[in-house]
Amino acid sequence: MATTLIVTEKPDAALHVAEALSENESMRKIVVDGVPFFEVQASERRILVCSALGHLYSVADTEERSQSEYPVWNFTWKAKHLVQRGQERQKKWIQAIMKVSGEADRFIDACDYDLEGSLIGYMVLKYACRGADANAQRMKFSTLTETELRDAYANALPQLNFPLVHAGMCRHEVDWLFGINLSRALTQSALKVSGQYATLSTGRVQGPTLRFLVDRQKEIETFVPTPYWSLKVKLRIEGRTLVADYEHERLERKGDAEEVVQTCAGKSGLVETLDSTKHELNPPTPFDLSSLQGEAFRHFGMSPRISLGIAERLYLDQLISYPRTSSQKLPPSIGYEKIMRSLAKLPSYTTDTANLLGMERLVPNQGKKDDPAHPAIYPTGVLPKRQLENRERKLFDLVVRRFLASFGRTAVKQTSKATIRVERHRFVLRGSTFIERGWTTIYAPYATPQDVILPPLRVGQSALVQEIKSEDKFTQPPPHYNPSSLLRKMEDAEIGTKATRADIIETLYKRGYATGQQINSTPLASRIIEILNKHCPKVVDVSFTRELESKMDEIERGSETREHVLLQTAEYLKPIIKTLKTHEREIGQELTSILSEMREKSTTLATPCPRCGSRLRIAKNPHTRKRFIGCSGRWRNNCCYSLPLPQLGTLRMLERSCPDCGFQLIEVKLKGRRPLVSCCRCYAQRTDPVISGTGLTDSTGRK
Amino acid sequence: MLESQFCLLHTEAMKNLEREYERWCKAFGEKISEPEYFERLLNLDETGAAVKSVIVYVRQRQLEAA
Repeated sequence: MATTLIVTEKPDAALHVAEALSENESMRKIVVDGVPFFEVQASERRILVCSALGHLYSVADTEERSQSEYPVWNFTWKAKHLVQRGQERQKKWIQAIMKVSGEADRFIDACDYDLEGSLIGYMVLKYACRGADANAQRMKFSTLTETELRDAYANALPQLNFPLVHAGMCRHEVDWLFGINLSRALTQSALKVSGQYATLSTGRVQGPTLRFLVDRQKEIETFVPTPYWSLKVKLRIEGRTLVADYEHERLERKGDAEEVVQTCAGKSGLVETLDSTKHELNPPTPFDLSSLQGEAFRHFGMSPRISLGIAERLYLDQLISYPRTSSQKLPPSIGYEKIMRSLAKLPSYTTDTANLLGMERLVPNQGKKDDPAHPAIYPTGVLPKRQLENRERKLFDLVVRRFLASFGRTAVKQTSKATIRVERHRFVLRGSTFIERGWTTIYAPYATPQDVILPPLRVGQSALVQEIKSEDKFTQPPPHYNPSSLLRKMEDAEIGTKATRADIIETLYKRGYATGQQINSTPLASRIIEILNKHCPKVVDVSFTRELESKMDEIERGSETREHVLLQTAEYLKPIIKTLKTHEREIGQELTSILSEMREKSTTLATPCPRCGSRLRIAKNPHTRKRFIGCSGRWRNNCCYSLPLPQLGTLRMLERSCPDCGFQLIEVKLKGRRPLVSCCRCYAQRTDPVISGTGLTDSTGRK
Repeated sequence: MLESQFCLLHTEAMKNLEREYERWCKAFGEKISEPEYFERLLNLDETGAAVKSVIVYVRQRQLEAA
């Protein structure tokens, strides 16, 4: 029987595609060598739906060479399990697809319709399905709902979107060339001088992003505040006390502020003018990915990577549309009314949807940004089939309310301003109130409009100065970036893509370049930027990265070729790498001191040895290779104090102490598990009074 | 003179410290003394860490010279 093989990006998507295409409940799950496939019958055809596991292929060196060698200019695409460790599942997947693809005579790519999705599908079809990319068709959809998937299957595009595939390939290849050569140059420079290995990375987007952080940190660290004064006055007007501000928000001379206080204290004034203005507040535009990530961080403190992950989960559950979109537009074809009628079944949205459906016309407030592949993020109208986790529920509610609010009525706000003249100075009273709350009632949990109501006043009314105060203030340094504002900065600078920006920020944390939610760049980050600025400033300059981004957009539009962009990249990189190689020793020396400092810091505890007061350090037993906390006063004071440590996972010393004993807390992170925070001292004493097998009891005698 | 002993970050901090001194004097309408300027900056949360370490260093140098 004629067989069609449909390739999706993830297993959940494969299930939804199969369910949507299944006729007469014909869907059957078959497992080939441990890999699930879905088989359905549709119009005399057998359809097999399989999935990738994200990227199954990646860019790799053409030759087997030492990780220390650079520059590297020749690359190819290889199955991920041949390039990276721990990719056994991916290997199994490719083998199963290879086996099954032999049965198919028609191939369809049903991966997400964007750069990454198109590349994933293309690679699977080209390599695992032996050249099936040439004749494969393309399903284009923005939600995993049954109607849209059926429609996408029935109207599958005759071929893959090759410009999109080439742009995706080019992005990976360019990033690989940058990453492998620059990161190896830094890592090897440090290794050759210090003899110690540390992963030091930079890249095409990572370098300029890190520079944003380092520059901001520098601004904060070198900030000198300057004084200014502001004035507040308590006025008594017809039995009421009102607080007004001086007409100038800032007075830059103390003398000026003192003069106003002396002139106005205890004096009477008059209400000079009364103004009131109405402002219309348009409904918010529907979410594109970055505005969703921004709101999720602002209201729930979710990092961009976390909110993207949750949004993808909601998409795979058919609850929302494809989240990796730049669009702020909702076309009528998505069926506004149908979605609202469905959402009305959820009690939280019943009133709001009823109000909206009662309006004459449903027209969303479209934003400026557009995306040729997908509309803005919207709820599909499919109701949750499982209990959503807390964060999923929050994000879902945010998407639904934003969607509904974008159809809401314009809100009208009235702002009032009264000017009170005292001698030759003026003070201002301000108020604002909503005349029409419009869309803000729908978006209420996330839009917090507060009314400040001014009492009725009339011109000429007398006002007595009860109290006038001058406040000493100082200018503020610029704020630290947070993950959301850094992502916005990257977007404004036009570097990275909506799919990669959140991951790049995470990498900065992983490499030890950034810490905290209010991001501080570390001394290592400053040193890396200093070195790159000195030897090859182009690497951290945003302009080349931005230029490359636009070239890749041109590839997507078909007006530039992948080969040309790759050649340009190599030409650009060659002199940079040559310079780095020439200055390897110098760079190594510049990095060594900071690396030693960081290593020392990351292994030395803040809590001193309770027995001899020396520093406690994380160390490894040279024979057993087991790690433990040991006293650095072992040789000087003959102190053998030690504590056990978990042997698995990544350790991080926290800036918090144990509430019971005051010992520095340690976090242990195991892949796929929640981090565990523990006090090694309490643990040792709970489990064994003879601490950590040294044969010595804790001298403090604590239990 | 002092700037030559500093790294890029602390050189920048020193420059800002010198530049803003004039604004402080103007703001208070009188010439505030350098020790008072330093003292006030050290007590402010808004003052950058590099600026504070430059102040501490400069003060120490002045003490040694005295």
